[in-house]
Amino acid sequence: MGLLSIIRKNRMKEREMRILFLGLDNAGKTTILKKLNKEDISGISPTLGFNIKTFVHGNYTLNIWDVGGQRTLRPYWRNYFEQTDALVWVVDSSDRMRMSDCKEELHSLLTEDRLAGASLLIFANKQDLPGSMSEAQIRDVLDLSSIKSHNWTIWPCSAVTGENLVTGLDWVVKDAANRLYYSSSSTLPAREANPT
Amino acid sequence: MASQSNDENTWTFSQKFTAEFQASRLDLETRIAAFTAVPPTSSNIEDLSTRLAKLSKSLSDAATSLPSYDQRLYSAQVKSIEEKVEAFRTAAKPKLRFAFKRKVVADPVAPPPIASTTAPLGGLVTPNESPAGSSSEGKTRNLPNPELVSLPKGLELSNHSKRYLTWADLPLSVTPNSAPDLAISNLNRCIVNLLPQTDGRSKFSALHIRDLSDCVLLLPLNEGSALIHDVKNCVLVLGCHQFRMHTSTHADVYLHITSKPIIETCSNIRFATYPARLAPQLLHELPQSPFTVQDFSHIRATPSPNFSLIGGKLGAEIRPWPIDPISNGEEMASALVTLLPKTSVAA
Repeated sequence: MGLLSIIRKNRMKEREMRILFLGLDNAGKTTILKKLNKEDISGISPTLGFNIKTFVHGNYTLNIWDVGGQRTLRPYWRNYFEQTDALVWVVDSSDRMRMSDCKEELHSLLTEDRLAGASLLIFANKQDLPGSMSEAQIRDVLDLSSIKSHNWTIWPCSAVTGENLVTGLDWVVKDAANRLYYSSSSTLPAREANPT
Repeated sequence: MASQSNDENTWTFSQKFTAEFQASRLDLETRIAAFTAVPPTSSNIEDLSTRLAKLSKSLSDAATSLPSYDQRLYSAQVKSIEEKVEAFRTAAKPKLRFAFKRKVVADPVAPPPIASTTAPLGGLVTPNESPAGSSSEGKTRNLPNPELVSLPKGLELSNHSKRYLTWADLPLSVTPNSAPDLAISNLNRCIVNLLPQTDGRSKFSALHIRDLSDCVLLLPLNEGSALIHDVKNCVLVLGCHQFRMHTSTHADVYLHITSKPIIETCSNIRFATYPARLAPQLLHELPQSPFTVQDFSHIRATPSPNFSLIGGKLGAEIRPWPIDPISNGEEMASALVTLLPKTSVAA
């Protein structure tokens, strides 16, 4: 048995995944997480520092790191890159004025070695607002089609209504799982591998 | 002693880094200069952007060990190179496009002018950005363009000077009891009164406010978050779910909020509670618990020098809020003088 398969087997037992939520301030990162975790979303203040949520999603335990997006906090993002299995980039779809900022920050993240290979989910949040940009517009403005370094997808969503939050998370978990635990089918329940 | 040697380390590191950084920057700029005569090919551009990515990564890795002045200077330099490379890229685009699909060529060329005039925040989403991208899925990517025109837009109030602005000045009519998102930008010496109307037009969801100087904003109790940039010498009256203010100076904020408002790179900001005179329903609610302001530019135990709380609820109540339209220029000027934080400037 090679070292790689030992490592894989070990991770398979834990079935843990580390997911990093990033995006500009006011994107709705914390609100999405709280909504996913069925918590109250009415009194959320801008994140000073970070939040960690751990919850079970399907067969996996997700460790989700939600780091504040204010400009002063962005230099600290890289302290959280290590061992990230998936990156969720949250976009405020109504914030037309800062789309170029948003594009720049995203593309500079993707040049990070420590995030290489991580699955990338883009949440086009705040679709409940009448003035928000559509998924297709955001795909264009952020130049997503130029991303070749990561497996990515984009989901329009709303943290307020909960639309597509679970669907998006399903995709990112499945995509990361295919890479991390490729030897096992994600439809089978976790169990001890038969040695023979 | 320990800290001194630490400082020395930082110093030597920053000296060394500066030399390396400037060398690779100059190299990159020479390469770019060479292309002004002969336009670069796409592989040249790729090469440039790889070098640029390395440079900007080395800078961000070193960020913690550099003096802040140097950091700012270097990132400005990186940024200017980025712009040049981006310019090459946009210049090179049409060629790629023509190479792919003859059929769709006509479409993508036509929509941008429409898109740029109808994009709610004109010019901020630049026209050559939206149809850009050299992708093999060129065809599907061009489809959304017509949508830019027909999609419902958020409301926008921008580019006014010395005016009293009301609901009538919004470009689209607002349905009673709805909560559209609103962008307010580029106003100078204006009074904006969007307080609730008797016909039911009463609030907004998300608020995006940018580039205001010497203005008074009277806004209702809104449901969404408020994001504010570059406001100078203004009075803002609003209620919102979250409040973020960036790079602003000399502003008085009368706020109704249930979370913690934050400021970043701001100075001389004063906070007070929303005047009940402008929102009588507040009198029937339980008194809101006082909010705590967080200054992200001053994350320390000591109180931030950038803002203060002006408790005096009374002050907010007796201020001469300009709730009636003013058309006369002189009256307007004198109303601004009495209200604005820095009256000497407004006079």
